[in-house]
Order: sequence, then C-alpha cells, then structure tokens
Amino acid sequence: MEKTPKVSTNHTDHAETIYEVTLGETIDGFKLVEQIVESEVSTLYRVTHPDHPLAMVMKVPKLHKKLPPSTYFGFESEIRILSGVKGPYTPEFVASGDMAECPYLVMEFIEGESLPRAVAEAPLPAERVAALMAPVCKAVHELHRQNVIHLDLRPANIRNREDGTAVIIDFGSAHHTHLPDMYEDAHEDAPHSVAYMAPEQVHHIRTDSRSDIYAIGVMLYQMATAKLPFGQKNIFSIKRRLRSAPLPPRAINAGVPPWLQEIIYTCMEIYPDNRYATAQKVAYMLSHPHMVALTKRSYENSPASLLTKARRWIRSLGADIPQHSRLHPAERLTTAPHVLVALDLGHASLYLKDAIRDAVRKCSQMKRQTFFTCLVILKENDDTDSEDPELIRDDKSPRHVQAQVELRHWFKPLDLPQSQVNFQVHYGDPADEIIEYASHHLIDQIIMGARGSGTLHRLLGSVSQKVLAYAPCTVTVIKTRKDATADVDAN
Amino acid sequence: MKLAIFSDIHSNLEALEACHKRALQLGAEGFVCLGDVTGYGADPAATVDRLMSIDNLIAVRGNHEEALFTELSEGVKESLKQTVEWTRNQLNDKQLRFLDSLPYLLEAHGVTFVHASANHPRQWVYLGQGDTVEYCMEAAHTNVTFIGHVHIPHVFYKTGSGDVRELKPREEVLIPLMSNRRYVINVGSVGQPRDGDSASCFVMYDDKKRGISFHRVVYNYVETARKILAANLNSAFAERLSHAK
Repeated sequence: MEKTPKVSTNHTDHAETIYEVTLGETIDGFKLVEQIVESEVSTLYRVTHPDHPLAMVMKVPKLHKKLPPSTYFGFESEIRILSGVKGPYTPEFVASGDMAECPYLVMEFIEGESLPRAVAEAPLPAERVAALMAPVCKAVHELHRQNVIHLDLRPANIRNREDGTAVIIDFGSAHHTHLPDMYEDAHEDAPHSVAYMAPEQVHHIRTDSRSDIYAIGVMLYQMATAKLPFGQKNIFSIKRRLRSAPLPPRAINAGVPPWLQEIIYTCMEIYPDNRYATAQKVAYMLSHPHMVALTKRSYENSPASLLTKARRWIRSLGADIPQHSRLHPAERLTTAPHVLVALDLGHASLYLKDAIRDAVRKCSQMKRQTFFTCLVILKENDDTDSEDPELIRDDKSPRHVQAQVELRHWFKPLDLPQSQVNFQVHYGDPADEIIEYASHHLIDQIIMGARGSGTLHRLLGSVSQKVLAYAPCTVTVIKTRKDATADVDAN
Repeated sequence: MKLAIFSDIHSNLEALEACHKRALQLGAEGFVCLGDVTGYGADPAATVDRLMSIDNLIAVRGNHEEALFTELSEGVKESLKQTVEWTRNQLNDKQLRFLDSLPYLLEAHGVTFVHASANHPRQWVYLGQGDTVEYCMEAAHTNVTFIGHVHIPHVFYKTGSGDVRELKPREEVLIPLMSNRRYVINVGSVGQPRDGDSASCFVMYDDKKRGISFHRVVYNYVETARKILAANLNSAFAERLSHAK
C-alpha cells in the first residue's frame, strides 16, 4: 500500500515527535524491509524499489523537541551535499523526500565496516594502520577536490567497498564551499564527534579543509594506541587541543614506529598551516614511510616535561588561528601538487633529459609545496636469465640499484630538498605502470618525454600517447626539436 | 518547469540575445524579467521589442520603468535624468504601454518575483545592508524571492535559528532550495553587471526540482559600448560594461 506520511507540526519549533514510519510500509515507492540501526537522531532502514536494483538504505530523521536543532539541519545538509558529490568515495544518492512533508534520504547501502571493526581491535601494528587509513585519506582528498569538507570524520563514519575503497558517510556536519551552509554551532550536542574535532572547529571555523586532516590524525592515533589523544568529550579535552600536543603515541604503545608518530603529530598540529596541506600527502606518507622526515618528536616516548609543556603553551598564546581559510578546498589542493616525473633514462637523449629537467625546475619554482616522484620503469625480461619475477624485481639487484643511482644523478642539478622527492623503480609495461601509479597515488600532473615521431612509433603508438589518452590527470609531454629530427633519421 | 530569470537588461540588446540563447540551450521553458529593461544602453526600442517577442514571459517593473512614467525627484542624478528622457523619446506607444503595464510584484510558480524588495517594492531599496534582506524575506508570501536591482548575484538564506547568511554563488553549480527555508536570490544583471565580471548573469530555476543555478555569458560588450558612444550618451555607461564595477 502506498502511503505518504505527513509531518504534523511545525518543524522550526521542534514541538513534539512529528514524523514516524513503520516497517513494511512504502514511501514514494520505497518499501521498508528491515531496520538496520536506530540512533538518537535518525533511523536507518533497508529499502527496495522496483526501479532501483541498487542495495539501498533510507535514513529517516527523528524530529523531536528534545533533540538538538542540529539534527534537522544536519539532515538537510546531508541531502544537499550527497546529491551533489560524485565518485565511489560516497554512497550514491538515490532520492529524498520533501523536508516539510515527508523527510527521508535514500542512498546506496555500503556494507563494509572493516575500519570501525579494526579500531575495536586497536592497538594495531603500524603497517595495518597505514593500510587501513591510506584509502580513507584518498576518499577525503576526493571530497576536498569537490569542495566538500566533512568536519565529522571518525571511524563510525567510514565504510568500505569490497575492493577496499573507503566510503565516507554522514554529511550532517559537512560544509560545501558553493552551497548555503545551514549548520548551527552545536558541537556540545555531538559527544562522539568532539574527540576528533580540530582546534579551529572549536572556534566555529568551518571553511578549512585541513580540519579533516586533523581528524585523520586522531584516527591514526586511536588505531595505533587504542586511546583518543585528548580523551572523550569534556571541557578539558576540548580546550587542551587548542594549546598542547597529545601524549606521544610511543608513550602508550612502544611499538609505534617513529615515522607513524611523526605523521600523527603533523596531522594534529594546532595551526592548520603546520599540518599536511592535503589528505593525498598523508596517504602518500603512510604508504612510503621512508619518505617521512623524522624529527626529535618522532622518537618521544614519555610525557613532555613541565618545562616543555609550559613553553608550548606560551608559544600557542602568541598565534591566533585564522578566522577564515583563504583558500577553498579545491584551491588548497593546487598549493601542494604531487607531480610524477616519468623517465626513460636508458633511451632518452641528453637533450630530452635536459628538457624534462627544465620542466621540473619550472614546476618547482612556483610558489607551491610541490612534491615530485621520479619514476623509471624497467622491462621485466631485461638483462636477466631468471624467470622468477621476485628475483627480477629484487630491489637489491644491480640493475635496480643502477636505475636508482641514475635517477638521483639526473635529479641532483635541481638541488631540491630530499623531503620533496621520492625515487621509484617499477617493472612492467611503461604506459600501464605510469597510469596505474598516477591513479593510485592521486597524482596531479605527469611530466614525461616524447620519443619518436618515426614510422614505427606512429604505427604502434608511443608510451606518451597512451599515457595522454588514459591518465587521470594533466600530462605534460616534453619534446625537443633535436629528438624529433634524430628519431626520424633513426627510422 | 525550467525558468530563466533575467534582470536589469538596461537596453543591452547584445547581452539579452546572448542570455536568451544560452537559456534556451539550458532548456528554459519560461522566462521572467525582473525589471529595468531600459536605461543606460543605446538600444531601448530594440531591447523592449526583443523582450516582448519572447514566448512565455512574465515581467515586473523596475525603477527605470517607474522613472519613465513619473516625474523624477530633485535628488536624482543628472546623468540618470538624461538617460530616462532620452530613452522615453526612443520608445513608441506600444513599447511604452508594455513597460507601463508591468506590476511591482508577481507571485508565480510558487515563488515571488520583484525588482528591489518584497517589502515596500516601490521604495527601490538596495538589499544587502542592515536588516533589508530579512524585511524582504518576511514580507514575501513565499519562501523564495527573486530580486535584481543591485546588479550583483547573491544568495541570502535564513537558517533554522533565524540567522540570515549569504553566499556568493559560483556559476553552473546547482543549488538545491529546501522547501522549509527562506531565500532571497539576487539574479545579478544581464545588461550591466557590477560584480567585477563583465559577463552577463542570469539564473535558471527549476520549480519541480526546486533548484537554482547561476550562469554567466560572455557577450560582445565592445559593440554595446560603441553604440552608447555613437548615441552621445554618457561615456561612463559605456566604460562600465568592461570593468563591471
């Protein structure tokens, strides 16, 4: 039986319970088949619809005078934002009911709960923490690219698809740069969220994408130590994050490696400018621990001395957290791009190698925190009689080491700090490897050389043509006049 | 129904043509004009004719229409007086009758259309300062009011606790309107933008999906400016088209 429930009283007064649905009924064609979970603010049902084959859930808000108004605004916000974001990192939006008549939200049901389950088993080994959180960072990065700041990241709001892709849910507190922000400051009403809240959120700032980086840091801390850095919600836990760093993770769990402690501390810096600029960078550091620049604090394993605490506290008084982020989330991403430089050192001419280096130099001279990965791809069957792929890919094999040395030698004239570049040697089809690396690490730009305009390349297609066609980002192909001539001659 | 909402065309035929074309491409089935069809530009007659020829058009009166049919008070700028008088002489009876027939305020498609403010529409208040936005929200009988007059695109909205907030809209982004919230939407100006962007501005409103989107159209303002100078009108009206301030 088709039924359209009506809201019976005025929402803005939150006068009394005003909206109820029951299992088995059908709302706008969606049949409620199972109640999944009931929280203080909403109920989730599994629903089916003859026109939608997708596994779906319906979220129905509880509207009651005893509930904070933020419940209602959060629900509106979730509909507005979810209906606009795209990609596999959020549940697909299906439908929503009229807010005044019949409020509901139907979205894709994402079953995987590996992250919240893993948190329950904390403390976890660093490798497991990194493997669980790198996909979360990627999902957050993609949200930021779409100018959405989540502002309530915590394990309960993270699910996953079967292929491991992290899916972010619950956009009740989220902010979208280009949409009206109906959110009311009511953080005191959300005890679960307070533990993950960035210092600027305590000051009601909702426009800085790096607030989500802070929450990532809190989750890393929690997974590594089984503790929340400032404990559960109370007035001290809120205020302490404004002035001090948490107890070193290594003081709680001696097994936390210095690189993970350094990542956590950087994510949880009090001032947003001192954190990683993008979630992509956090993901990269988690999957390349050797790239984390270690400092004295990376090794700390006991509570800071009173003197240190006092010094930090005094220093924190000097600087105010900026009231507004100057940059939209998507603009922020452009300030810290990750550039992949794909090199074919064995075959490229000296002219081409110089030209690519010039392009990298120009890129590094812009006022940005550009991070470079230099990638060289070796053929698996080169110079070896062995059939064992493990032996071929051995990173201590002479040709692997030779490639590493050549990469570093090529890069050296650029005179950039080590923390700004990573050198990678991969094996396989060059174009496939470049495209895969760029997709996996959310690369912003690929710089590579073009070789060959001769007949053979025209027939078979060159590596750069394939990368240009299939890469997920900007590709800059460097070509020299001399190379073009030389290749024509060669063919 | 998908509506294209134009305001402050100001005798700019090139801009109107460009916006009309884009709106049709975006699937516009109906058109709304929020007033100030004439003034400043050199093409009043052709602009009014073009507007009258648009199918499914509804329109309201702006202060420039009002000025054509009333005596201007002493305080009005001399340049404005000149453009009003010049414009009146360019229009034939039919065009004048059309402009004089326009109401101050219209309620249609579940929303309110008015040139300046739903609160005392004839006072031609510039919304944005003090409580002017809130007065307009309260005076309207509908939750959504579309306005023009200021020549700057803007979305004003009221939160559940009564705060009036504002959003500088980004073009092409679909902004859903919640049915239980109050909005005042300034659709910007077709013929004389003043937000620093010389491209024409208008709004698409889908009354079924209850969403709006702002659109910018780059039109040939060099031609518009040339005509203003050729007609010996105030050169500032021509210059303003390029710097849009």
